[in-house]
Amino acid sequence: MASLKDLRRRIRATKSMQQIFKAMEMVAAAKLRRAQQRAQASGPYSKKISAMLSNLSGAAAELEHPLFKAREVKKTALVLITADRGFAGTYNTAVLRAAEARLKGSPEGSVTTVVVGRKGRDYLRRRGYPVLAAYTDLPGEASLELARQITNELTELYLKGEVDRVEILYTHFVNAITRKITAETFLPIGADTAAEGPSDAGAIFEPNAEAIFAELLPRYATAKLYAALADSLASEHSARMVAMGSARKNAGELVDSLTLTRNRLRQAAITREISELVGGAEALK
Amino acid sequence: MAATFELSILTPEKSVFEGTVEYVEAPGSEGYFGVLAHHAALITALTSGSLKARLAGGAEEKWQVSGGFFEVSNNKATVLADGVS
Repeated sequence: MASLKDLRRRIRATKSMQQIFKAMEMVAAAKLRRAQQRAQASGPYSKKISAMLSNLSGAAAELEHPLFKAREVKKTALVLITADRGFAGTYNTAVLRAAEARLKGSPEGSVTTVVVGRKGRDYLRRRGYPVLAAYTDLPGEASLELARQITNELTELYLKGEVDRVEILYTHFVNAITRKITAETFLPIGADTAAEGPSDAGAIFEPNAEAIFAELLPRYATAKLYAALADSLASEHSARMVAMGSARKNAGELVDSLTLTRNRLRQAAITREISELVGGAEALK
Repeated sequence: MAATFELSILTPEKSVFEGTVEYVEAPGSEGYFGVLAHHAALITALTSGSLKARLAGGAEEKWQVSGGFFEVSNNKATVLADGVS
C-alpha cells in the first residue's frame, strides 16, 4: 500500500499533467481552426485547375506529355504524409500502418517511400524499409514552398525513370473527430483525373495547347500535393486535440480515484490515533 | 454603363479576388493583353507582371502576379496565379 506521502505526490504530478494536456488540447484546437481554413482556401484553385486540365485533354485528345502518360510500372514511390511530432493519437500510426500494408503487399524492392514528417521517417528506417527521401522540420502551416519542392523532386524522379508511378498516402480531414486515410495516384497525372468535363472546345490557346498543357501539369501536381499537406495538417491537429482531450479526462479520473484513496488512508490514520489515545487514557485510569 | 463580366483571381493558397469587372489587363506569355466582356473562350499562360482590372463602376485594382494561367469562358475570367502580391 502506498504511503500517504506517495499518494500526495502522485496526485500533484497527475494534476500538473492534466494541466499540460489541457493546454495542448487548446493549442491544437486553435491550430486546427487555422489549418482547416487554409485547407478550405485551397479548394477553388484545385477545382479550377482540374477543370482546366480535363477541358484541355478533352479539347485536344492528341496531347502528350511524359507526366500524363502511364507506363509499365516496375517501381513505385509511395509518398506518405506524417507529422514531426507525436502525441497525436492514432494520426501517425494509422498512416504508417496503411503504408506498411502497402509495402508488405508488394514484391520486395518494388516500392520505395518518400516520407514527410519525422515520425514516419524514423518508423520506416527503424524497420528497415527503403526511404528514398524524407522531409522533416515541417513548417507549422501547410507550405506551398514545400509542396513545390517535393513535387519538383518527385517529377524529376519520374522523368528520369527512377520510378514509374507515384502514389500518395495521407489523412483526409472529414470533421473534428473523423479522419480517413486516403491513397491517391500522384503521377502519372490523369490516371484518375482525365474525367470527361464540360469542355469548351474551340477555345483559343496561347501560345498553343501543348505549351499550356506542359505548364499546367506540374502546377496541377503541386496543387494536389499542397491540398494533401493542408488536409493532413488539419487532421493532425484534430487528432492531437482529441487525444489530449481524452488524456485530460483520464488524468481527471485518476486524480479523483487517488484523492479518494488518500482520504480513506488519512481517515484511517486519524481513527487509529484516536483509538490509541482513548486506549492510553483508559489504561491510566 | 460598360458591359461587365466576372473575374476571380485564385492562388493555390487562397482566393485573392472575386468580383465584377469591366476590363482586365494581364501579362500573357506572348505579351500584355486586355479582355473586355464577352471575350471569346481563351486559355493562355501568364508570366510575371502586373495584372490590372477596372471594376464595375470605374475603380482600378492592381496586383503583381508571378506566372500562372488566364482563362475566359462564358463571360467568366479566371486567373490561376502561382503567387499574387
